[in-house]
Amino acid sequence: MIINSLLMWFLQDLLQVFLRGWMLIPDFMLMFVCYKSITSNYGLSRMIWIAFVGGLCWDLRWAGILGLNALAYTVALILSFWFWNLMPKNGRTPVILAAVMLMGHLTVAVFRLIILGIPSHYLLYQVALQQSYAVVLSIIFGFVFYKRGNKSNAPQA
Amino acid sequence: MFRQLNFAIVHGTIALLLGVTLLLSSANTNLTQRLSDFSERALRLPEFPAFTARRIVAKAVFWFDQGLNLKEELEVLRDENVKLKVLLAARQGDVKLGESDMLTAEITLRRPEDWWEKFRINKGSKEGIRPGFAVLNNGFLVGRVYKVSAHQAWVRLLTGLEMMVPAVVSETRDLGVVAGDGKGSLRLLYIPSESPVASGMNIETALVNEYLPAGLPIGTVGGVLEEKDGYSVFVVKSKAQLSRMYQVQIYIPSGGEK
Repeated sequence: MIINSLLMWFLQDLLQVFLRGWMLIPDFMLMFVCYKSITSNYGLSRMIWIAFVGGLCWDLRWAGILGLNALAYTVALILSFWFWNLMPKNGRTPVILAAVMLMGHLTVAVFRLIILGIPSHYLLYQVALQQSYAVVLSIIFGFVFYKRGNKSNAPQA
Repeated sequence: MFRQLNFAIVHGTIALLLGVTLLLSSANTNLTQRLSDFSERALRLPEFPAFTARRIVAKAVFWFDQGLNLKEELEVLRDENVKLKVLLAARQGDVKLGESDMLTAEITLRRPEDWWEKFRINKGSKEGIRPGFAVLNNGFLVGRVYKVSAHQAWVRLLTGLEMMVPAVVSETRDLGVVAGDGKGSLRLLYIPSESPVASGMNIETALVNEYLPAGLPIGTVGGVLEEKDGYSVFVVKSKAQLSRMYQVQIYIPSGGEK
């Protein structure tokens, strides 16, 4: 799980390097960790620290403010897990999963905007575009969930 | 199950507290900056394929998609460049700009909380950059280098609260100071109220030192912002793309390069 998350982080980083200035990459390392925490039985505690460290590394590489993404990723993961477990088991559909993951991603974006403010309209436009890419990713995760037979091994809250 | 959930609550609380502590304590500290620089250096090698791919794609886009438009744009820029060199030569007899006097650098970090204050570029002392060198975008002064390491440097923006640059209005030769407001705007200070300075006139640097020569364009005069104690404050309109800067040019004076 740690290796997979590390690979996701690195992939996200490589894409950010490749597309820097053209577009903001959605936080799919976070989405991956959210997905795994929801659908697998890896301990939530471990997932929290994976999200935290992933966010911290992103802070070091891109944000320049320690704790910003670490905190945002942790909050997003906890919220996603909580919302998912609020659902009765028969209501945990792929669509709901996609919505929960998108909500987690949106939480990070809103958190960044609250902490950093809006430096320019151009950046705000880029953030909006980033969320639209996250919609596509959420649908993909929802589809994967559907193909795997809606299995959720996550511990019940 | 409950034990596991309790564990998660404890871990979640610790992570959140740690995050908040880091966020509150690390903003804008030298340690954060050093760690950030270190991570950039450490990841340079693994990120190399992405950098290379980016360069190739950028070149492909340049040559195939925008060839004609860019050719036209290049002509205009070449003309502007010649004009700029002529202006510089006329304003300051002892400074001659050669082919290697402008070094293009990419902006690698512009932190949102310091958006109008500073940014980092991917060229440093190995490329001949020294503290104090002028930084231009679109042919207009946007800031000065203030900290240099081997392969990167930090630039303080003209729009920040800490930068002030002596300037002259080209048409009237009135001397003043251009300063930022920390919010992305520039102002021209200390112009006597009776001076004939008017909107649309050009503003350029007055001689500061050998690194920041006279005659570098800063912008044009906008409207009067306020008048106080016999002096006017004008808005300065810069033609630099301050919100959409990805690259900047570093002015390396003669003898400044290693």
